[in-house]
Amino acid sequence: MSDFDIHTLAAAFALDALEPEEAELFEAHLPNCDLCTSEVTDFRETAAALANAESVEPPASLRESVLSGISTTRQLPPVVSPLPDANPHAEDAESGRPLSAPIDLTEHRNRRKIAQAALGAIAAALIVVVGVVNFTGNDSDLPSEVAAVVDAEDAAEIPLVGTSSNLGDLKIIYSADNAGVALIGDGLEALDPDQTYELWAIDADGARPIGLFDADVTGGVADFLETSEATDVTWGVTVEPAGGSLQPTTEPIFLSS
Amino acid sequence: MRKPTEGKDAANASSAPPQNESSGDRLAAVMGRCAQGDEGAFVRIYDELGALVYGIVLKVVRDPSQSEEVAQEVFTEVWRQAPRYESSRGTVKGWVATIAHRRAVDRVRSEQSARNREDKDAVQRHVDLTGGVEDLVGDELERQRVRVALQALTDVQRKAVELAYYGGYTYREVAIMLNEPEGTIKTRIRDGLIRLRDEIGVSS
Repeated sequence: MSDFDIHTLAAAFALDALEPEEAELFEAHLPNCDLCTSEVTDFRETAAALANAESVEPPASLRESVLSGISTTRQLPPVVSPLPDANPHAEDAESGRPLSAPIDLTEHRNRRKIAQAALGAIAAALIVVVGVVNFTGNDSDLPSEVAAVVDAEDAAEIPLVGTSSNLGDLKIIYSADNAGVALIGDGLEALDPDQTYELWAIDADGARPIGLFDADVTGGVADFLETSEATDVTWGVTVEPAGGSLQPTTEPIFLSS
Repeated sequence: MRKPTEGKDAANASSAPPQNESSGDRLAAVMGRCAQGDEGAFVRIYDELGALVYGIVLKVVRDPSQSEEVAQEVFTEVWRQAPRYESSRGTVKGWVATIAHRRAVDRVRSEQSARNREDKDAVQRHVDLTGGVEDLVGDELERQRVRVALQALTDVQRKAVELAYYGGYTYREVAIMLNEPEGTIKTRIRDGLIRLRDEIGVSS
């Protein structure tokens, strides 16, 4: 993906014709690029015209099953913006804040920082430089971009900690040489098709979306996400609606220490 | 926020000309009522867009019973996501078509990942099927425009766009099927779509 210009991908993205890895990169790029956003909006209308040109009257049974289906399907709440004066520490999950409201992940970072100060030395020790040794056995099973990060000379392992028990194991391998991170995990919940895991880089400025990833049916994760973030951010993972979010809408389930 | 269109305007028959964003989206107000849980409004969305959704899903998935299943998932998704639809980010038709195509593509890619999708026969099979006679409904005027606009593309542009969108193939797969470099196909898809956008968007 060396000679690749992300701005040229809008058309193929609008037609769902990108490879999954590229689609994720592009989705992460979209919120930061007005040009691509407006192109995708236009191209989607064009695609809708292509779809309309192939209209076929559906069987009557579809109408029945759709209408009976929705009467038993709860709608998602709208996305609300954060209250301007809200003190992030005054609110919590128990306060009844809607699950879909954008969440200020920086509060988690601040809490982490306290722990970090106390455990600084240990935390530093946890950022283990990994080489070929740890992964020799399963390199062949990994997607090439993931394997490239794992094998990179500057690969640094950043463990993620689940915010509750039984979420599975997940870690980040960071490689500036590869301009990205590999996510490797197992035991994660395989999400419904309308949900996705999203990785965030969190610092005092807030949470920035890095990209989307999924667990396979066995709960395994091996994904590469492009990023130019530095290592001194806090990494967080949330569950978001399919397609991802610009701001986190749920509490993080994993955070780096 | 929702457009201030009254619901009755949205009840126009599907013979109305295709909408540009600038001319307003007659379905946006209906979607606004869906967002409030109005099942009657959702029936209108289904009746307006059912043929589009089923048509594009069938085009990609091919198998009618699977297509019906996928189309049902699409409409359930539209209902669930209705409170999150934003008219500033495109028409209801564009939004629903996006959901429909993505679902259809997800279905074929997960089902066919085990198969060899580099089968070059697929090109011929697909080309033979485009423009096939089906029980067409929907917006006839726009359909004619699309047909004309597709014919105005170069051969490679048209095949690339059709294989990508109607075939549900990635541009890299299309590159193999058309025996062209990936970069070329990426560019042809882009050029083709820009031309289609300009052709379909103009004359009314």
